[in-house]
Amino acid sequence: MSSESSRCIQCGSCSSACVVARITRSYNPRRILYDIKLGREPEERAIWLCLRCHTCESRCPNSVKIPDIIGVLREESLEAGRESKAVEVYLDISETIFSEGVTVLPVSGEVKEFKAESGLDLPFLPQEVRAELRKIMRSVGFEDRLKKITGGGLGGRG
Amino acid sequence: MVVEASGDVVYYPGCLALNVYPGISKTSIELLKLLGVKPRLPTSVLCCGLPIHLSGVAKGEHVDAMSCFNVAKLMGNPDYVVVPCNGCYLTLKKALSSEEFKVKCAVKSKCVHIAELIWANRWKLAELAKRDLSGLKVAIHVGCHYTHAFQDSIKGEDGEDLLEDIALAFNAQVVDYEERHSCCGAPAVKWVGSILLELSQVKMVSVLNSDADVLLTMCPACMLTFDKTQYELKQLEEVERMIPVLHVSQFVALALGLDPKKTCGLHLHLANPNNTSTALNDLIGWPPQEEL
Ligand code: SF4
Ligand code: SF4
Repeated sequence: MSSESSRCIQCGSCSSACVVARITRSYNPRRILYDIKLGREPEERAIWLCLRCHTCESRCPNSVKIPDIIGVLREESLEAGRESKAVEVYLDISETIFSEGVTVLPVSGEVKEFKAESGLDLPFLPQEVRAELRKIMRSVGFEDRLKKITGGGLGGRG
Repeated sequence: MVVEASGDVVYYPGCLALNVYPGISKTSIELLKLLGVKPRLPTSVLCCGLPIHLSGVAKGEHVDAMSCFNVAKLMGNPDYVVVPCNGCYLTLKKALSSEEFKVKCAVKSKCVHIAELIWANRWKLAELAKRDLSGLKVAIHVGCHYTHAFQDSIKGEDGEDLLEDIALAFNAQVVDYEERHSCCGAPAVKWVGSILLELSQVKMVSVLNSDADVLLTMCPACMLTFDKTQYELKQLEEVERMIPVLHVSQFVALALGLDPKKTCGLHLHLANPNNTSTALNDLIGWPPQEEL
C-alpha cells in the first residue's frame, strides 16, 4: 500500500473526478493519500464512503490504485476490530453465499416460473459441493477471518 | 482487442441475471446461439464474490479461491466464460488475466463480457433486425466496473462507448444526459446509506430529465439500482415518470424481434412496459397479444 501511495503527487485530479467527494465534504481521496504519506491513519468514516468505482484511478496521472488502497484500509480496520457495523449486511451475504451459492434467491414466483421455462433453473450448491467449498475457504483463512470480525465463523453467526 | 468466444464456452449468469432479471440470461444465451456459440451453463451458480470483496470482508486470496472453485469445479475449465455483469467481469477477468492464478488453479479460461461480443458482432446482428428502433431514444450507462477498472476496456468506434456503438448499429437515437459518466451507486457500502442514496437519485433524475425512452446498461447491479431508485422516487412523487432499464442483451433481442415477455422477461423489471409508457411499447407491441 505504501509503495502504491508513494506514487501520488497530490494533484487532486482524483478528488475532482470523485462522485462521492461531490456530494459530501467528508470525503476526499487526495486527503486519504496525504494522510498515508504522512504515516497518519485516515479518518475511519471516510474509508467506508468510497464506492471503489475506479473513476479516480482512470483520471490519476500516475494511475494510483485508490480503490485497492481503500480495500486494504477496510480490511485492516476490520482485522483490528475498529469497525464491524459497516459490514454487517456483507457478513449476512457471506452466509447466504456459502449456504445457497448466490447472494439473492429468486425474488418472486414469476421469476421462478420464468427461470423454469427458460432452462435456467440451476440447482443450488449440492451438499457435498458446499462442504468442499467450505473446506477450501477454511484452508485459505476465510473462516478465521470471519471469526475475527464477528466472533463466529461460517455458519457460526446468529 | 480481439473479442471472441469459441470452443468450449460457459455462460455464467452470476446472481442477479439469474434470480432478479433472468431475462438477461435468456436473451444472452439466445444471442450467443445466433452467433454460432452453444454455451454450457455451470453445474450450479456460486456468487463471484465481488460484494464481500468490495466491502473488505473477503480479501483478494479469498475471492481468488472462490473464482478458482467457480471456474475449475462448477464450470469445468472451459475455453471461455461469458458474463453479463460488470461485477462478475471485474472479478473473473482479473483472476483469469493473472498467469499466477491460472497456473495455481490449473485453468485455461478467458473471460468475456456479453456486451463485448455483441459489440464485435453488432453489424452482423443488425442485419438480422426485425424491429425498427429508429424512433427510440436511448440514454446510456456503461458502468464503472467496466469502463474504469480495465485499461483495455473497449472504447467506442462510432460513438462514445461500446453501448453507443451498439445502439447506433440498430439505428436508435442516443440522447445525452448530464450524469452519464457518474457511478450508479450500487457498490456503496449499505451502512453509509443515506449519503450515497442521494448519488443514485441525482443520476436517475438526470436520466429522467432527458427525453430518453429507455436506459441502456450492461450490468444487472446497475440496472437494479436504477430500477429501485426510480421506483422509490415515483412512489414519493418526486419524479413524474419511470422508464424501462434494459440490459444490452435484452435491447438487441428486442430489435431482433424476440418476445418481450417470454424471452426478454421485461415484465419482471420494476419499471416495465405495464407501468411506463414510452415509444418502446409501440415498437415492441406491448401488451403482448395474449393479454389483450
Ligand atoms: S489523482 Fe493520483 S496523483 Fe493526483 S492526488 Fe489523486 S492519487 Fe494523487
Ligand atoms: S473509487 Fe472511491 S475515491 Fe475513487 S472516484 Fe470512486 S468513490 Fe471516489
